[in-house]
Amino acid sequence: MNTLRAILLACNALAFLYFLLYLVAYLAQAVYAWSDVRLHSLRVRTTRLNTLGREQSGALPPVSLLAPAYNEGPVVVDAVKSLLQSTYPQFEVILINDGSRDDTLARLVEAFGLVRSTRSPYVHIQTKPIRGVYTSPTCPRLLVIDKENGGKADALNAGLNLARHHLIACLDADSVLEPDSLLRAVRPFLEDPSTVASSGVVRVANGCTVADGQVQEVGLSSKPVVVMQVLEYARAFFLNRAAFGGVNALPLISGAFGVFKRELVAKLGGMATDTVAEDMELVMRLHDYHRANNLPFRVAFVEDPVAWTEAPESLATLSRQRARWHRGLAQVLWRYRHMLFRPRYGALGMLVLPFYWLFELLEPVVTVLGYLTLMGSWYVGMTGFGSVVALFGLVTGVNLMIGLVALLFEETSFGRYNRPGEIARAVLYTFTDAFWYRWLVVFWRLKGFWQAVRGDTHWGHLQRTAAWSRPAPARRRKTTTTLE
Amino acid sequence: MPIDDGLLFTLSIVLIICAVVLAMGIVGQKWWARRAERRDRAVLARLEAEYRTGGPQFEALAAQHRDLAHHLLLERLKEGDSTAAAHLERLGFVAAYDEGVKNPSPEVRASTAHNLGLLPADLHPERLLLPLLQDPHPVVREAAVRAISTTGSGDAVGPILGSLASSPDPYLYRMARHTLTECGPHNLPALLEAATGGKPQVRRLALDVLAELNAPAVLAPLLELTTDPDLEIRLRAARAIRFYDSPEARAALLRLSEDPEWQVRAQAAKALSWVGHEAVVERLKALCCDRSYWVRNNAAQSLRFKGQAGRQALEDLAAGDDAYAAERARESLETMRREASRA
Repeated sequence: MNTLRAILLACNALAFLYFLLYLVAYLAQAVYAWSDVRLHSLRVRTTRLNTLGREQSGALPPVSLLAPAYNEGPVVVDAVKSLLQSTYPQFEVILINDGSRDDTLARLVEAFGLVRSTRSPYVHIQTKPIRGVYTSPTCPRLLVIDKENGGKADALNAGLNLARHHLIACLDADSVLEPDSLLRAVRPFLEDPSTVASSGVVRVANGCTVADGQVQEVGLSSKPVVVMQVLEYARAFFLNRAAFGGVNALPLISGAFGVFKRELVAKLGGMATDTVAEDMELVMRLHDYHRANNLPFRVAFVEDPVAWTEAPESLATLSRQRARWHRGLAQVLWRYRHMLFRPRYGALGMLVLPFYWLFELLEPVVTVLGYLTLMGSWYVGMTGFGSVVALFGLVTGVNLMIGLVALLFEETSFGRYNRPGEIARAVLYTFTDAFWYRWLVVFWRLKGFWQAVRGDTHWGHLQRTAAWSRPAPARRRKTTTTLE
Repeated sequence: MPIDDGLLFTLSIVLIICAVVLAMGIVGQKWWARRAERRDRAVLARLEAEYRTGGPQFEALAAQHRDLAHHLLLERLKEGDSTAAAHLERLGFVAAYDEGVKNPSPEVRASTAHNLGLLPADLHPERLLLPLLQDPHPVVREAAVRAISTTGSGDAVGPILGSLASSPDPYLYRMARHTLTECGPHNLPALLEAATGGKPQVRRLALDVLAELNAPAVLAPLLELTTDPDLEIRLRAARAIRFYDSPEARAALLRLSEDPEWQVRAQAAKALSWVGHEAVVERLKALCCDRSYWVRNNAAQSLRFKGQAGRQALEDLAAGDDAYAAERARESLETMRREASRA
């Protein structure tokens, strides 16, 4: 019995230490992210970005937008139209149909009058066989690649082979870009020639009014599970990534919107096809390559370029997505474990990767074990029920503050949600997080962790509803175009 | 437990109270902002009506709602309404800019610089803008450079170049380039001096601007720069001399098209599209087989502008053995066909 008590005591002490470290890590991030977000929002307010494109169209590097699509039939035409509406002076859209089993290609052929193209590849990264390359006589900026199914990374590699511009933007086919998103995301490449990649902010489109491939009015979904994801995105982008980007240690650029130097990605062998987190893997590879060879580089995070994406609305789909993300995180962290605590990898190796190992990868395990040992301590009479409640209150309070601070950053800097009712609802849901959503995420992450341990590399598929592809109604109140 | 329960309870309660206060602050701020926005819209409509009709109430109302009146007058200035400047001066806004440029907040200094850029030249906004080029905050410097572009004063050329020499900020560089293109014609000697000596970033900027200005007096110094050891200077010189269809400029471009650096060859291939001479077609045809994609691409694009000889060269390349050259040539021919059918 004494041994059990000693073990429980040690576990409780470790869990408490973990919690203190977690608190310090987020506090440091909040302080760093605050100055970064403020500086950026000041720059946005005092810069006439709309004229920047016209004034400097000759100086802006052209960009190839790569959008892989698999069974995106219902949304693909609107998605391509949205990409084509960018105000960026020079760009091409390369949509890669990754062996869809639905009518994705047929819809594209019909909508854009596609004809066969003779474009030959500029680089030769191994991919699944290409069935055809098409261009549109009415839309010269569009190129469609039809290939056999090989996964998102394989599709991006096919696009990379045929991309003609020095910069590539990797997107999800269902991403809705704001007209000046590209202009803002390319800015770090103009500011600093050593920039190798730049990341934008991804926001949840569910609840917004989308028409003609553009977000017409920003709104918050009425579904609690979507609101919780909005809060998670705010936390991820305005705390984690803003802080990590500021010290050139951004380990992840979302697959929904990131800009890279094409030659460099090709030189490093393109996207990795043996992981489900090809976006994070590529960024880690960029860090590894530049740090190992002592080359100057910068992976930039820009707070305001926005890509809107459809978030899962059903718990089953969200569960699969989160398990996959966690599995991918585990795969990448394990692959790049040699960077951990190595001073040559700078802030990434010394601070950010330990953070990801401790507070992202192991967080579900520690959370469950922490609460189990706490309950065990209570069961054997080592602690009173009051202590259990007090600790739960403390953890909840800290997480609540972190969520609210992220929301505050978003509100005071960019303030995309206009209605006070929506902000009130977001705040209210932040208070409920500790009682249901957090536990669901912990469970899904545990599932992903277990899948990673078993070596599962299956992708799964997110079912598209295409609710936002319907035409905009005359009156917003009775709209059916929202992503509900 | 190693830590006192009472302390944990107190900490939890304090945290949750802080969270509630923060939450109320976030929602309250939004609600207040929304309310203020509605109120401001109503006042702005009244101000606008008074301003349009020249009503006597305008200045009294403007004195009560200074921020809104300021906003309205700046909007009018943007639309080219010169009477707005007189109102700005009479209401004391122009005098307030003197304080704005000294404000400790970079946000205030940057927005003052932006507002100064809207003022007409007779109010001499550059008097306050030029010192802001040395501001410690990069956003303020950018705002000042942008604002100067609207004043178009030749006096600004020297300070802008000096500001870039002391602070090699790449974004400032972009902004300065645009501004100097606006102000440069009034002060060519300063630009030429900067292009031929000094720090590399200043030389590059000056050359970029000279390339835009196309002033006949600067051809000789530009030709000298085509042999500069700095790659960035050579490629900028290639771009700058493209408008001068003289034997010297043509010879320099043909020489640059054989440069060991692909960036210079690509730029020369592009610049040769402006030069009309048969020797150029042969050179462009050879550049279509270059090992660099951008050189091939630019050469094939330039051949589009060389009439029948250019078309023939593209057709030869499209039917030739070099698959890479053929691919670029086919695309150029396709573009020509599309343009012809559109015409």
